[in-house]
Amino acid sequence: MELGITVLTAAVIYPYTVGVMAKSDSLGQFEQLVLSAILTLGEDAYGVTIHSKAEELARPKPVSLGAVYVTLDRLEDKKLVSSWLSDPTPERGGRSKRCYRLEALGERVLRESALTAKRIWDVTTLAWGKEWGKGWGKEMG
Amino acid sequence: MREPGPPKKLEAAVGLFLPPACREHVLGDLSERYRGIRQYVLEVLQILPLLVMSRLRRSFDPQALLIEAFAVYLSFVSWQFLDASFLYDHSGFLRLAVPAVVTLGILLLVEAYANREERGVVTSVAAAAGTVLGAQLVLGLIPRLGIPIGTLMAGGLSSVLLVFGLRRLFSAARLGFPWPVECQSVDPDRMSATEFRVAAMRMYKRALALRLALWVALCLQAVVWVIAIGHAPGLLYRVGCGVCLVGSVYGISVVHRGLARGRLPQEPNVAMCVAFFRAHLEGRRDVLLTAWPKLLSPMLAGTLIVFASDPRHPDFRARIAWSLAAILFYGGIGWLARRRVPGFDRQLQALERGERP
Repeated sequence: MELGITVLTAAVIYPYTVGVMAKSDSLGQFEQLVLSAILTLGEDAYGVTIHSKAEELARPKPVSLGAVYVTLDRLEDKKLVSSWLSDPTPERGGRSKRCYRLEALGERVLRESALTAKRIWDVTTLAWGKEWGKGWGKEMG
Repeated sequence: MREPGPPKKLEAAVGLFLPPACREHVLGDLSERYRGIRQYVLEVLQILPLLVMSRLRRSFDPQALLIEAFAVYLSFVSWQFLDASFLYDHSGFLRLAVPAVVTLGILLLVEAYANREERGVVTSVAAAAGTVLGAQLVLGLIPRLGIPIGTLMAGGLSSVLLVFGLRRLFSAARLGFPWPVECQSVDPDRMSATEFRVAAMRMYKRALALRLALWVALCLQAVVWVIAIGHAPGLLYRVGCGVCLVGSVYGISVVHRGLARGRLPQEPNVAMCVAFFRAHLEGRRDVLLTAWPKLLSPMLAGTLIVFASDPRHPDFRARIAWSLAAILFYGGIGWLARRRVPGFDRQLQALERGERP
């Protein structure tokens, strides 16, 4: 009987709590970093280079390679990036690279994120003064 | 100068633990970043759990998991006739959930590590069965669990077969719209945008009500089959009820997937309404197309098993009559469902022309 009650409760609650449409237009901060890295690297975007670039962008925070792989998988599921396997190369022990490319949706979402970041930058510099903006820019290199 | 790559044996060992879908490029990346054995091993230990979790997330389907959980638990319960005494001890049914959860976890990992390009179905089933039976053997050695080893082994093996059967039979339907649609707006000569929006909102409310009603009906049916399993007079009868129960749960997943497609915000624009109409009509069309082959026919099979194996009705003619009634009932619903498909095709074509469906 308990099983029946559980199933009934699930039936009533479930349809209203599970989203059906993919939330492809909302990006986390790390996803923005990885997308920016792919955008910068162009043709040479694969695991190792994306990780190095993301680490450079996230400075001084360290970035783990595993987190980059997980994020790349998630971005691929959201159809923001696409991937393909390259030819094997001897310097990688005869293994292929998985190369990544920004899709049109990815570019659009990244552009929106960049505009939001720009708006945040504008209002904070306005509130805390231009000197703060310059000083902060120097501090972050 | 660049360090040489990692030792081949170490690389091969690491490759065994990596999911096949990402093995090639991850091993390549690790080889490129190699600076020494310590760094290599530490990096592998760091990324391996994340990679496995990511594969699990990608292969995870909550509806399919619910069906599989039912199937696995039922297959353990159905072997209680080997030695039912433990079930009536303190929390026997709850203890039986332990091997079911372990089996389900292993089967999820098997799915995450599946490599369909290299392995055939038989090899995958054999590998999963071997792992599950090994785990059951270990569980059998735990005295506090107190479940007979025969029940554990038989339940484990039958769950593997049942889950693989379910995965093949009830794979997610990907029917979709059979032709490309370009329409993103309405034809202003045929109807106003406001009228179109009102029609979309009305259909959305109807869709929510229909989905809730179908969910409740299918859940009540599932509860009836659970109760029937509890009072089953024999193993075959229980198997029939189990098939119907799995069918009902699958029905819930079909209804959810099909009818929940497409959502409308409070103030939708025309493009949102077009997208909603298209997704909703496609969903209903897919539900109707899959109703007979994937939902009604297994339910019919289960019901026939139940009627054929019910010892409380020894009259042969009555069993035949009930079986015929079941065939007519399920077959009739299937036939009616197929007959409605062209109607949805017409509605989708109307949408393509910029008309209200």
